[in-house]
Amino acid sequence: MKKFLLSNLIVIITITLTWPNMYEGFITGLSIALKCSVIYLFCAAFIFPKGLAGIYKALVFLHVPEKLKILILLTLRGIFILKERFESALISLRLRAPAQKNFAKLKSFTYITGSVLLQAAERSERMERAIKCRGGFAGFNSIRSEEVGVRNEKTFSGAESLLQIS
Amino acid sequence: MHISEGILSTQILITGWAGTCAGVALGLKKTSDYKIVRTALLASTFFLASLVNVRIGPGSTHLSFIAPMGLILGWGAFPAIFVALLLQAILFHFGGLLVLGANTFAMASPALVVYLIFGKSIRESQNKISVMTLSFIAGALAVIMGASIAGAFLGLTDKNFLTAIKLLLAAHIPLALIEGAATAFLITWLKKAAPEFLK
Repeated sequence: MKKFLLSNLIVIITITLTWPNMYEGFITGLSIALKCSVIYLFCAAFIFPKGLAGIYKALVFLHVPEKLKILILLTLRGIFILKERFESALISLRLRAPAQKNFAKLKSFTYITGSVLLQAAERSERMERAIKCRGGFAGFNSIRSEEVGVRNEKTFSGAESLLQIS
Repeated sequence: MHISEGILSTQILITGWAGTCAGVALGLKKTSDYKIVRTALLASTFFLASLVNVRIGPGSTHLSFIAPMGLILGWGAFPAIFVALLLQAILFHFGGLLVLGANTFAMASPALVVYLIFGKSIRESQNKISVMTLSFIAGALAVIMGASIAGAFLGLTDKNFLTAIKLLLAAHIPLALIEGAATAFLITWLKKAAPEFLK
């Protein structure tokens, strides 16, 4: 909430100082901050408390493509999987080279990002195989309710891949 | 580079969403079913990397990794950036849900442009210095393009934002240099450590 209020304050100050007429700029900044607050409060009251399961249901209701829904769920899962690796790599960087500054630090940080990217790619290959073995994306997540339709085709494509692997 | 909620006009919000929907649809079409897993995990890594503050000189910044996302994921960068911004809006309340279309378009289209312009030459080049130079230009260009698109959205909403746009562009010049350097280091390292990764 503090960050949100601070960002609103920054918006008001920036617009007031950069607008041709300061008073008009202040009013415009204030109206933008008010609009932003109303949208934020609406989201905070109705969207954010629903959690991931609720958002997934909303995506189903909005007929969002299957691939995009899977991408959202897997990205969120990926964040939790890779967070630990990223943090431990950063801690080791701090311990090995605490005095690193500026571009040397930037270079080390990008190398860490690169190594985590490679680990992520490796892990994604294992996940792909595991998903194929479990029957494709059909039985992918416990959040999803059972439905007849496209996912059944995916079950069959998953079973087909399983046969190919065996 | 996030545009805050409530600033853009309805027409610009709709334009942003239309561009984003088209980009995400094309990106998903060009990404095979099982490559979605790889796209998701790489998007997660970029998401985590972009949350870390790197101290440079007197201040600190967090990198956006727009160009590396474009160069590595290709068309998949559009849905990946959309999902990353959606999660940022839901988890950290950066940007917002209504303005998500415009923010995604402002960040994902430079990634795609960079991929289309520099992707092939970076993949095929064997010279380390040329890879580094091209990656640096790609990284810096992506940030400047992103800021320009965000500025264009603001300018089309109201002409009085002109001074704010100039300020926005000026603030992004040092960021573009840092982002260019980070992209150059990352792509050169990937080219050396795992050349198949960029193919």
